[in-house]
Amino acid sequence: MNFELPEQDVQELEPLREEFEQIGTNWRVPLNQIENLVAGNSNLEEMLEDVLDQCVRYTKTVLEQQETLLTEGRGEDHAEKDMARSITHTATQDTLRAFARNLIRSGKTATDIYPLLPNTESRASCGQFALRLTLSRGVKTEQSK
Amino acid sequence: MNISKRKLLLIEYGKIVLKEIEGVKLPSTDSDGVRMKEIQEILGLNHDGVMREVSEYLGGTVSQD
Repeated sequence: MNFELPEQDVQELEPLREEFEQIGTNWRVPLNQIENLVAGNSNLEEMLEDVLDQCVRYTKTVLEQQETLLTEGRGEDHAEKDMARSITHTATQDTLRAFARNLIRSGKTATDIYPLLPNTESRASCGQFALRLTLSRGVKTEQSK
Repeated sequence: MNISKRKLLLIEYGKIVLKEIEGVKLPSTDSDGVRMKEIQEILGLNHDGVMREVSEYLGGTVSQD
């Protein structure tokens, strides 16, 4: 029995395949595009480093808080970890806000910035962005194996 | 597998990845790499699939903040 699709069907299905691939990968933050935004400006490059470090710190606190919640429940230890996470969340939002402000000062427009960065007025958006940015960097592991 | 067990595996995986990002260890060359492979097999996902689940799971926790 031949299970292969006729060539015409394959061509018709191709756009769908691309759509599914995008759905599967759209959680990633295009770090290379953000790097392009700051290229040649040492001040912005340093700020991007700060953003990356801060996002790692935030991701770590989320992982620790969630692990404590799952293993020990909502006790004192969890409350402590949750507080640390919340404080780091605020610092992350501040770091992203400062980065976006300095990008604007350097002549970048909202059109350049906001397809890549979150709405820095939204706490949840900044937190989700920080997690996605950090985890996007981790995907490189697969390519290096 | 219950949901909590799955979440704990995602957290464990995320922590290993963070170690690599911070330059503490290279997972592909030590026991962390072996553990990553084990987790991938348990979850039935490749590296990219696990990372996507970690992202979705942790991202979901942020919206409750």
